[in-house]
Amino acid sequence: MAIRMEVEEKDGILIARVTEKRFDARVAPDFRQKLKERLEGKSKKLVLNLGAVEFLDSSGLGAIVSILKSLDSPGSMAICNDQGMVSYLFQFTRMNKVFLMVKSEEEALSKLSSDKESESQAEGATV
Amino acid sequence: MERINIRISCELEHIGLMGMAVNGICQRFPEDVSWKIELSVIEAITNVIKYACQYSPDKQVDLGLTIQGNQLKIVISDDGHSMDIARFEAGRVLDFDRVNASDLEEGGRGLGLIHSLMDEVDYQSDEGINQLILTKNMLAVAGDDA
Repeated sequence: MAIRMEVEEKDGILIARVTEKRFDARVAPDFRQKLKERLEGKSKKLVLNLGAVEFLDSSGLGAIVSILKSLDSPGSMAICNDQGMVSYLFQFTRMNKVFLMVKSEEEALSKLSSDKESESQAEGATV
Repeated sequence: MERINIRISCELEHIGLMGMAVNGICQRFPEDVSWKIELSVIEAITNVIKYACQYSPDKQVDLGLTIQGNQLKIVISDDGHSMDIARFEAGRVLDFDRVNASDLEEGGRGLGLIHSLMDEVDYQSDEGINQLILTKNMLAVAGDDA
């Protein structure tokens, strides 16, 4: 079943906003496939906005982990706007220690952009 | 005693409906308890649809929810393939300590979550009927800080 999700790219960072209220086994496979297609060979940084998600299960969580593992490093992905049971689940499973969890899209973009600048500077220094 | 029975066919399209029904029933409980009950039910129903009934729309899964005093009891029944008891028991131990992305598994958390979120979890299979029995004691709510 197709997941409702808005995806856009800003300054080389992919932003995915899940607009589905229930992120469960119905939509988890489509989420995984759609984002892997968008990330393939392109942006390797991702902001995942879960602000509209009211319910997340282990299938949804597994799909998010799958996307994280497809990126260059765990620091390449930030999750923002999580609330209610979604936040509880991340804390309960200690996934909040695995993912970079921030309050807003702006904060997520800022964190990922500053990492990007640091990387560029580091690359420049070695040339 | 209050009791409600809900039946859906074994299709993933219907798990949202089951979740919303359980969520509505659990509105009377504190939020830090209700989400655990709803999630446990959805994990259990998803497992039945995927593994016991293998997505067969001709099969059905039944949920019986009983509230008696301070105890909530949920029985999830199906007539699909029974679960390996070793797999059920292995689910009692869920490793939440993996904090490195490379060590993380993408799946296999469902049963472990159910064991962790509910107070008692039992499974029985008899004469072709499988039953997962989940119990939440509301007296334990105050001390439940997970």
